[in-house]
Amino acid sequence: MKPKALLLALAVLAAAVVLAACGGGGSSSGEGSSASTANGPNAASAPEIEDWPVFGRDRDNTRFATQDEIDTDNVDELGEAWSTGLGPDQYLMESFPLVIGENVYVTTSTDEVMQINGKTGHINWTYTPEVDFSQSTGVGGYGITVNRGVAAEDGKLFVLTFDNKLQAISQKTGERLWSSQVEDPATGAYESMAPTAYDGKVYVGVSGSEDGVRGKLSAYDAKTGKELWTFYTVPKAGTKWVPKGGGGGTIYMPPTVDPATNTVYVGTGNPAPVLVGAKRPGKNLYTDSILALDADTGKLKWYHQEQAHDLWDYDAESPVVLFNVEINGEKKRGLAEAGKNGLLFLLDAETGEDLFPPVGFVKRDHKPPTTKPTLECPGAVGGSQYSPLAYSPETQAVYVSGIELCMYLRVTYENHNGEKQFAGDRVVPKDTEKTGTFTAVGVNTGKVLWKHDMPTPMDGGATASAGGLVFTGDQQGILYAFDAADGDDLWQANLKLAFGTAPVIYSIDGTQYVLATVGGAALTASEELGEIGARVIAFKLGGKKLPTGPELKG
Amino acid sequence: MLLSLSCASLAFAGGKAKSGWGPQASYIGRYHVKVLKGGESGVRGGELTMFIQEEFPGSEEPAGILKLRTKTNNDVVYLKELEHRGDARTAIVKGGSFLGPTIGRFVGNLHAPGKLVAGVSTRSLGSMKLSFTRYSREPTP
Repeated sequence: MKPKALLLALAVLAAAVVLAACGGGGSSSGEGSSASTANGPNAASAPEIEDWPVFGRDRDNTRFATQDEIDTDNVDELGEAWSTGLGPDQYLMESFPLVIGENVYVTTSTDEVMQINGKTGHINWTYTPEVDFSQSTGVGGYGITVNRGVAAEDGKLFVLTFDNKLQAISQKTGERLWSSQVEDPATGAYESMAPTAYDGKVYVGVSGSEDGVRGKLSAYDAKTGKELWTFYTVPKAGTKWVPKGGGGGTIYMPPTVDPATNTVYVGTGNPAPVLVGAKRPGKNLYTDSILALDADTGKLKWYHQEQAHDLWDYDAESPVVLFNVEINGEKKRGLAEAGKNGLLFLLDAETGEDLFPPVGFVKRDHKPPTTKPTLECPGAVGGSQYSPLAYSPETQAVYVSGIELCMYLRVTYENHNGEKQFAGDRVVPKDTEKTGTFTAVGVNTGKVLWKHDMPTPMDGGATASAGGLVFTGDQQGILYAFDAADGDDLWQANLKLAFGTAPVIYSIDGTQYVLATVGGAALTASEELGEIGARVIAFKLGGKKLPTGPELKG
Repeated sequence: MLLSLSCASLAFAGGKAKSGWGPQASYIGRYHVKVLKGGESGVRGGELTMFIQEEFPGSEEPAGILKLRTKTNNDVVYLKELEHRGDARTAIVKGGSFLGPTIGRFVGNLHAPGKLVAGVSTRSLGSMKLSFTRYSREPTP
């Protein structure tokens, strides 16, 4: 999710509205609103590898590690192997690392890329791009910058900088190879996502719906940085349903590629103006949607809109997970995505149709906002933000991070904290408890298997393993290992730095590591929460014991 | 290091400081940063953007984004709670975001219109002496 929105939740913010339709989603095959046109590790689902070479470890984006050295029986022997700080005055960490060979590749919130030795924690090199951060004045007015990681292919790393540059650097040395401007920062667009690299292409979106930025997904040539095709997620401002100054449908997380069908799946953000639905009639396609696009041309195969005519900032921004499933004796290719509207969507990956009705994982109680404050649940930073799901083929379950945070919304027709197209206020009630959920949902049943009420909002996502475990971290800095099958709280470590990411798992010389990147999500960039700093911390069996966290309910 | 600049009120000895850095037109915009003393982390250069931050509708405050570059890092910190008295210009320095923790101080003097020299400290970079020269009155490029 958007750093800005998360931060906003912490401030006492003012608010706004207009009437409009609410409603659920819908899906259809269809054509792109625009396509100008122009192919990694071809890992199959849950490959038997030791690395973590792509964002979700495999092309299905499952975040399922096949290593089983650390399991439900010995996880209590897990301890710190090494810990490395990531530079001065770093207070946000939403970077999801890659691990290739012996090296970890991680980004900082200020767009540095680091190669770190996975056994020792030694920083081998740091790539420090020149970045114009001045445009962060418009990111919710709070100056938030985050970087959610790199993509890797053919000896290159690809990184997006805050000021909308896609850059290729040498995986070996960190030397810059090329740089391409993907959007003009003057539009209000900024970058926070990790790109996706596949078969000679790099897939890139832009962020900034709250500023009326027009969302798009583009493919770039991995060798040259030349744009190959662009799919715009909404019409141009001033045409069709988009009013002048409006837009939306921007992208915050890396797309998922299915090599078998040559399909790129990506989620999109809210329409703008955000709270004023009367200015943007209809469903506002393709906002708050899952899109399936041809990987070579960008042509739309199908869409599934999670929230039609959104009035609450209910993005579909967490990355898509693919899986194989048998339902009533029929084999299906499935897709999962958890939305900010608090619903988990389980879809047919070939058609975009629902496999099961959406599954709620946080409190849901909302109505169209008006010019008087109305309490909306989830709030504009609730549900599931950018938090990636994990999927375990062993339990046939996806693991969902949830944020329980209701907010008052109020339409004012004015910009909000520098966001030109929010058109209202959002306020966290003073007496509101900021909590979270962590939920396992069966992909073959559409039913909740188990659920924990968590003491803080859950923002970082989840990681599962063949050891029967699922890992997640909270805003107090507690890393949890649950029994993936029944949710038993098996192990905790208090890292004292908030989680804005999920761990990755890798092995070197036969030793399995669980690696956490910590330092806080934008939600925690506040004095109200404990220690600050950005660190990478590796765990292995027999490592140094850390203190534990609180006993969980549920 | 932080302590060396923590008593900003000393800069205002003899009178009460006023909120902001004076008339907006006198300081809003973009500044080149010249390093006079790089501090413990060896800051090499940077850029300052001064603008008006909307805290919430009806509440606007001057604020700044200060990028500092070391040999290996981009360091981005945030200026808030700007105050002035005479030629003195001060702010607190926040980390992570404008809502982040206070990690240092900015204590400077206006030498000429658009020209500031300041002692800046952050928790990790230590104490620096920086010269700021405004080259654009627009906060955006």
